[in-house]
Amino acid sequence: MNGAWVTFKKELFAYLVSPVSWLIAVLFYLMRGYELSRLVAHFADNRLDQELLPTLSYGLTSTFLMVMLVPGILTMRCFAEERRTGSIETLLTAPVRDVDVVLGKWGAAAVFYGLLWLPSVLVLHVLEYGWFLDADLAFGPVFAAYLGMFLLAGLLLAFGCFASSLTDNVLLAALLTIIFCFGLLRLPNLVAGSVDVAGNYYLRELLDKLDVMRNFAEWFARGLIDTSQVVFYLGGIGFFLFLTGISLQSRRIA
Amino acid sequence: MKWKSLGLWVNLLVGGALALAIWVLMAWVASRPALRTLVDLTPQQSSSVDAITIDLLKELRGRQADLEFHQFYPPFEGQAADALKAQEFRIRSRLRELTKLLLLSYQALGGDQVKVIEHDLYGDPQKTREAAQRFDYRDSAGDVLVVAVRVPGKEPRFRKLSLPLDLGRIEMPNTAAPMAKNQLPVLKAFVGEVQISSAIKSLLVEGTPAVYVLMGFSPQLSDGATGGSYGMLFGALQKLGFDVKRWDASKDAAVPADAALVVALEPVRDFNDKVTESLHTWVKRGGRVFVNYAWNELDDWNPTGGKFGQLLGYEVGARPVFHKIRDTSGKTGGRWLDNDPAVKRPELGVNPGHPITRRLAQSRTGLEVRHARAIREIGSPAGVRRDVLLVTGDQGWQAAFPEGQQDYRAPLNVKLASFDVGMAIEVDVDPALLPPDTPNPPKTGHVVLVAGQFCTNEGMPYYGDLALNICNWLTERKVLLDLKSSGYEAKYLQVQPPQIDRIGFFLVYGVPGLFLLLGGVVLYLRRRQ
Repeated sequence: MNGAWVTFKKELFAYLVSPVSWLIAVLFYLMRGYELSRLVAHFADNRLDQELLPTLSYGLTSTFLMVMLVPGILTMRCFAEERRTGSIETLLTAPVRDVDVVLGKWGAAAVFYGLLWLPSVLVLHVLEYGWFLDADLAFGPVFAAYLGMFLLAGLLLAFGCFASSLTDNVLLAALLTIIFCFGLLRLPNLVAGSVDVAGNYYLRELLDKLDVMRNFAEWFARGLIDTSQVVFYLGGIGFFLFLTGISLQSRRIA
Repeated sequence: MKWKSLGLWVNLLVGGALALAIWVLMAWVASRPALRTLVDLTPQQSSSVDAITIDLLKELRGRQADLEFHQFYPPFEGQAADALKAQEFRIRSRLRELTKLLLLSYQALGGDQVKVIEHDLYGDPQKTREAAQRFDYRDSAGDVLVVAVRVPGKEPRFRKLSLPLDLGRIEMPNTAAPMAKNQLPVLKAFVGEVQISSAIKSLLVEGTPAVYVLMGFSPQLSDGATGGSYGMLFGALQKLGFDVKRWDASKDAAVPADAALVVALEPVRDFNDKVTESLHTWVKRGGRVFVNYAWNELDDWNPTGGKFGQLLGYEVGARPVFHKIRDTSGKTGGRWLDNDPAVKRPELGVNPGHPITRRLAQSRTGLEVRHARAIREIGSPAGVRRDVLLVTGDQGWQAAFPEGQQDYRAPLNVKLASFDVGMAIEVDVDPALLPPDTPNPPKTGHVVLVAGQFCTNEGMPYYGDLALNICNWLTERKVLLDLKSSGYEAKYLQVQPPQIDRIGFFLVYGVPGLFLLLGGVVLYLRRRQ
């Protein structure tokens, strides 16, 4: 696991000093700040129940964009860049196992994604002070949503790693991941709308599980953690990381 | 090279297929109700359900019954024209949200057999129309949750619950009061679990048990809306799936053949011989009776049980029972107080071992009765077992009003004591009284006595659970209504315009600006290295 730790540190440092990362953070918080301030004004105008504020703050467009676009951007360089520059050969011949490389790269992307979201929690905490809202917000849904976002992002980042391992074209890797994210976010809803799922338990269960954005909004963002969903996400992360490992191994054999 | 490349892809596909199978298997196993766990971090744990509901859903799975929740939420009509309408929209939205949240728990715990369907009046009009016809839903009914149960081999049954009327407790302002013009209705509590679980339970029960209210001995008995009437009790029983009927014993002294329970509320004279014999015989055949005595200011309106009491071994005191009240202000150094009208409402202790009162004892629900009287055991009739249900504390006394004046002071020369005011009586069934071909003959009949007013319209909001528990238990339904509901309380956000300005500045300029600054510093330091 030492190899994984070394890779993790190297990759995380690369994320932290990358101008793209900071640009993402600035744009995300600019958009989120605007949306959140409007949401607060809406709550104030309509004297809505304050316990709903954290939950609804996770239903903003910025959340959707962050889930759909950012995993592709973060992971596009993971392996595709290494292949394009030829440094993949060095990586594959270095005394680290494929699994360590995969775990290190994915772990760095996931932790960086988590760090990107962390200020959104702190912002809500700051809003509780008398100068701003002067109200006790419910942080149960915030923690659950943070966990849900981390798991969902972990799944999408794992797919991003896999997509990046398939090609040496960075843009193609990003595009593949974005299409996958878009499909995962939209397709179950479209299928459920066009097919009668009420009578088919297995199809309904499958679509329910795959409808990750709805699961996030209806369960995690409301403060409910369902262990079956946690297992689903962890299984998905394992699945795509396994595929990434096989992809790398195949390249090594080739 | 081509073969090698093909081999790599095959390797990837086979490995992927195996990993996918493992993923699906993991997700499926984790979805099983037995392994699935919900961690509730919602505000005020509004999605958590009581152990009784969990058992109910287990029972549902055991009976392979399908449970469907159909939500009919008509869209809000236009913009709110005034503050009252806006508040109505807010309450409706919150009730919908809380209901959906609660149903997620039912869905998670119920597994494959529970379906939650939200009908979209515009998105899927055909299915919505079909469902509306099936459940006889009309737009004018507003936000409605339909609980439908289908037990294999039986007709599907359903019950409609109104979100604002059944699931929510909305406090309406007293607009007639001075300074109340700008007050708005407030959502005080959410009792969704109690209502939904009760509805499921009543739908699972086979048939509709008939509760007969004994007439002819209670001239003041009314099902109206006044404080001393019993309209709320009868309404609650009907909602629970009981068929509430009247038994006019002056016309026919025989207990109706379809009776599951006979209820006598505040009788003012003892049952006559015919009714006594009829009731006693019925109890000896496994029948169930609930008698709720209460003290009456008219001396001769305080029956003591009469022959019915003698046969079952009880007697009710003719005088009211009072009990000293606690000195909560602590001004008397721990002494209990009397000479206060509150002593007329003795606070009771409940039997923690009896199924009727067990959960009330566990949840430490306070219980008071008005116009209480003492019940005491007399004799030892064969085949009769008595169990105390409700008892006053040890600071009680039987009040005497020798000159017609109500006196709330404890008598000086009488030792204060505790008095039984509730009793459950179990009577062995006499097989000779049963028809010879009775399938699964009952072994015992039951009588429950409470000597004090508690389930009138005044008492129902506070102590109604006890009355419904008694009826549920007597009709052999498991105790359900004393489950601890989450009791959600709304908190409304109140923010002034300057605060909103500050929040806008902080969120739109402050936070992104901080990231810009930090990013600039990091990149500057990076360049210098």
